[in-house]
Amino acid sequence: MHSFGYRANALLTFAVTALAFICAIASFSDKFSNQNPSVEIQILNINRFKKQSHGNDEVSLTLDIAADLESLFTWNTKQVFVFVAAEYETPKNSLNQVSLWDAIIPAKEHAKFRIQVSNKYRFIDQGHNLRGKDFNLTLHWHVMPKTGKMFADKIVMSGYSLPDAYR
Amino acid sequence: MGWIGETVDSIKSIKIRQVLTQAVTLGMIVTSALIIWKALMCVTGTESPVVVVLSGSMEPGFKRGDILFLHMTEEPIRAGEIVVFNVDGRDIPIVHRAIKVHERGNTGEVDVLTKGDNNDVDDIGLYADGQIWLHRQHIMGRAVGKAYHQVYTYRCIGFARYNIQRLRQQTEKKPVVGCGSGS
Repeated sequence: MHSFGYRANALLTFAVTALAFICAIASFSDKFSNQNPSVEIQILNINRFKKQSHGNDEVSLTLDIAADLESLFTWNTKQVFVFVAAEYETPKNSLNQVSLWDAIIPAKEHAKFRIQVSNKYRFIDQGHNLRGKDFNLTLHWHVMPKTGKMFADKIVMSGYSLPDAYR
Repeated sequence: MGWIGETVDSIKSIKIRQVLTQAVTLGMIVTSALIIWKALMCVTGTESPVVVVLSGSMEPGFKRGDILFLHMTEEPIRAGEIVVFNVDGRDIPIVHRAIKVHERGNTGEVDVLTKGDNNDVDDIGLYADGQIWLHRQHIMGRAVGKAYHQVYTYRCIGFARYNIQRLRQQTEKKPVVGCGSGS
């Protein structure tokens, strides 16, 4: 009962259990962080707005995104995945979410930024409903921890709209 | 030919009851692991409640070898969620992020486009020929948590060693019973 093998086994089992417990506590500590991110987005320019050859509307636009996400970082944060999505409604679809831009923020130092970008992913509708369309721009963030539960939230900014005619 | 006789004798001396007990114990251990796995499947609502990340397409968030915990609910699929999906005709599920979602008003059916964080292009190339959207039936679960991958290998080794120890204890406790006759 006291051979090396039994002792090593007991030690290993205990170590794994303790490790799992520590992971759970690390994840739980994320609940107590105070988070107040802020963001402002402006549409600088509508570069292109046309109907594709097979009938779907497509928009290309340039956005100015100013955000402060420093409060999302805790000691258990590996990275924050942030993306801006255009959200709108059409007669056929109750919800359309199209991601326009995303980025990975690896550390707190990079979490406060202001950039001007054109949309990274094509903004294509299922149909031709975009003329004069009012839409929301939503900034979503997903906090990926070093270990444990991921959490996500968003800020919805409304009041954006597309021009009434193709350009 | 004496050694044949000796071999046969030594085989006869193995107590059948002991061997059967060991076999049943081993079966119980394997079955209890299976029961735990199936119960996890019920609780999380997905066919594979735990998956291992195989490729680097979601780095630096998920690295190869990381364990992901999945959960599936009836909640609608929304952009930004990390989903695990199966493409028709492929065996291996893929873990990527939904970047576009179009949900039908009347039926609630949804068209989803996914992309790996570390990839330059979206997943259309991974879908079946002619398929440009994923639907709810392709999606097996959402990733809700992850474990640092080193834990996995330690757990496997620990689990195996623990069960070998249990088996050894079983055999050493049983006294050797005389063949045939009573006490």
